[in-house]
Amino acid sequence: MSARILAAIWRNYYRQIIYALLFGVILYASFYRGKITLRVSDMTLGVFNAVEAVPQQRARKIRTLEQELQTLRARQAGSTEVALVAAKLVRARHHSNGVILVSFDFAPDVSPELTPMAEAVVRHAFARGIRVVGIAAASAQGAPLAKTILENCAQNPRGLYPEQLSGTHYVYLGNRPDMFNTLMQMGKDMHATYETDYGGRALAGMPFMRGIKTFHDVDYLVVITGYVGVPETWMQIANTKYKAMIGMGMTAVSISGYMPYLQSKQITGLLPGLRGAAEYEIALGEPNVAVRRMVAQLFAHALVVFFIVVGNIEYLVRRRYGA
Amino acid sequence: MAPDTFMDLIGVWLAAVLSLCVFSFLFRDNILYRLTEAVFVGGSVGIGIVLTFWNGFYPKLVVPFQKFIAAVAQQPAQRWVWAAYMLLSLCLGVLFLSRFSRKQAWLSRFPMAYLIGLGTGMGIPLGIQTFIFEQTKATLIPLVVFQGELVQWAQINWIATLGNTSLVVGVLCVLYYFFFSFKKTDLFSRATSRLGVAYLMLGFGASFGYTVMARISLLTGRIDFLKEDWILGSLRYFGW
Amino acid sequence: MRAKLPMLICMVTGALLLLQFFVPHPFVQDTLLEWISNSAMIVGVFALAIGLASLLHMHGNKIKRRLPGWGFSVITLVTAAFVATIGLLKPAWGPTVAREQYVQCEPDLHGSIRTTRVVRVVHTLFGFDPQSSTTNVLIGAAIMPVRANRTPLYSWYFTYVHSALVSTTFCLLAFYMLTAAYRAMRIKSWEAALLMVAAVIVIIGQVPADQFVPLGHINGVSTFEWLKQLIMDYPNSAAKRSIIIGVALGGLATGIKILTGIERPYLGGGD
Repeated sequence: MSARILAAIWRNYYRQIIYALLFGVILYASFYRGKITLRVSDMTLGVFNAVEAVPQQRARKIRTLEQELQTLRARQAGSTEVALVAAKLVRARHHSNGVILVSFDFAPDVSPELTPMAEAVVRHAFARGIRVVGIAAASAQGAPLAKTILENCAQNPRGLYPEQLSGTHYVYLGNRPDMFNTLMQMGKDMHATYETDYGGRALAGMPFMRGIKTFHDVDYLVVITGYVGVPETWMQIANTKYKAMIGMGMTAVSISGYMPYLQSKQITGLLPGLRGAAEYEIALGEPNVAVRRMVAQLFAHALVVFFIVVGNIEYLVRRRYGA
Repeated sequence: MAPDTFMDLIGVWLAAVLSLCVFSFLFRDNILYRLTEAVFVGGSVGIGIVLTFWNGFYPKLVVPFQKFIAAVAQQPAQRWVWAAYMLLSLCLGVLFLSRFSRKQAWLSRFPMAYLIGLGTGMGIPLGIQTFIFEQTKATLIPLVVFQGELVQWAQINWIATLGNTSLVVGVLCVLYYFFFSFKKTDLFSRATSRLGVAYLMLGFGASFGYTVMARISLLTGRIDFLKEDWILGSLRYFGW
Repeated sequence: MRAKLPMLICMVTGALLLLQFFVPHPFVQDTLLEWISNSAMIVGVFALAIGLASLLHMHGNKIKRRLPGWGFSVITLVTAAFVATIGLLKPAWGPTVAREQYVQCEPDLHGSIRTTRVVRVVHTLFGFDPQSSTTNVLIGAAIMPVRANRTPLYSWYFTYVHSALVSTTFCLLAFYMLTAAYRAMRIKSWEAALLMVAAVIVIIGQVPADQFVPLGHINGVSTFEWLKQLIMDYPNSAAKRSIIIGVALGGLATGIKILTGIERPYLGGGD
């Protein structure tokens, strides 16, 4: 085929050729069975180590509250003050291995990127005996998706931990409208915000929820989201107002805009999209979907770089020699 | 989502056909895509209605008022004030619907003003603390970093020193670039703005780089579904 | 009245919320906050309803006037009505009342708790299944249904139609991104060159390219990964931090203008 015919085909159908190449490259990569190694970055370790440290943090909190209660009783402090600290101690002892709150703030549109990340974090918590409270603060459409993720992790432990039961090891509260005010209320009283869990069971009668009332009864918050504005709301309310520790997992689109928050330590760690999910799986010792999909990423990225280079060569040649 | 029941199999096939109809748009706008798009928009509206009712109206309006009416004789005085306040909120919310009438649309200003006032009042102090104070604090970092704790000039950590200096200079230059209140004609202003633009270009380039990964992740997920759940899942369902 | 009263409402509610940060009294911190939060959620729910009603109104108008493409609007409205009906009425029958899993917890001979899973798969096709309305039930830590579906038809639609359509629509962006990379990333100026260099470094740095192509190492880390992290930690953070601070200052100025009544964005209701 002459160069002129090829050039004409390219000029008329370059879009379709590029689309077909991308589809083909990713499909080909899905059959690749080789092993890949990834370095776990500090951003991911920020979240991983924070979850690892939850049981020790809870133990420290219990000891601090016990000492505080002893001190208050020794100086015969007022009954209200003693009762407040005693109530906090009772709640802290209720889940002696610690509790994390995971907010699944995403919908099906970004689920291929965030579902592996969410599953890795939840599996990590279950493997360490940490209790999980799941919510979908920002996305009503993501509420059923989050339930599926939690159930999948609870019922398919893959040998990492015993099967987890809803109402005993984890609870899923679902979504409420108006995220800003929901979080503001949760900081004071989660039971008033979410009177029932997603399945309609009243929180008041649930033994699991006796140990959780506010953000202060949760040791770590993990926010997994793909929407701009959601991390800011969490930081403003949970971190600035209620001084809770937060880790974030985001779609890669948003990552570069949230690096400043990582540097200012407003968040402890940041999981960057599928790469973050793959790194988390490797840190956990359980490479899974995310690591497998990184192969497709590798091939696709090579294609992108190839087209950037080809595009620039074409541009320079045109500039030099005309169309 | 691999199918293990007959209805799951029907579902997976429907999902795959709909996905392929959407992909057909890559070649040309066609009737299959437009039909699928109409179903998508309609379904989104329907789901929006369902979620607004079950996540919004029902737990926040219907249930509290049912409880209040059921226990009305035992309510202390404070709860009557609470009920009046909630009724007022309900009336304010209903005023939103006046937007559909051209003559009475001005009534929707009240609930709008209420929501804007709430958002602004809460947002100002939190915004100052989260975005201005904390970020400024994180910019006040040592320009010279040493490897140990002691100030020993022979033990400068050059990478961290250059990095910190470039970070502080970068923040100041970009902030200066975005200051449009006066013309930047002198050499210092132009040079600072240019440096700010350079930082912005590096930042946007990094954003684009990450965007590539994000978009490809979505496509990878979809292709995974077509291959694993649709084709291989269907073959497994029939015992192959 | 039409302009002054909304302004007064805005100023008073804003001031009430500002009080939160300066008055530690429990009434302001707890009770007032709870009332205001609940009230905002109630008013906000109607704002959501407006958006949905506008969309329905637009499509209804298109059908009434037989505008081009009105047939598709019929499909849109029919689908919306179908999904809203099955979601609001929650019929007990449907295609996914087919799977229930039970986790049985009982002590074994040594006294520790043993869990066994009993899976019951029942194929139903629009048949009525009375079990479909059971929720999770704990009977003395014994049998507990783990996955009982109360909205089978709605869940089936959401999983297999809506999620598929949403995911696929968004993944079209990958194709457009690649053609944009080919068409638009040209070295036309020094700024474009900087952008492109940063983009290429980050694109290569994110994937384990050094496993297939020797790219060298710096400090034990692949070269491109090290460069990527350098770009993210310093120039990217500097640029984004300035944008965050700038936007926050602008937002603060706008907020103060709104609270003092200089700017009145809520007056778009028309007279």
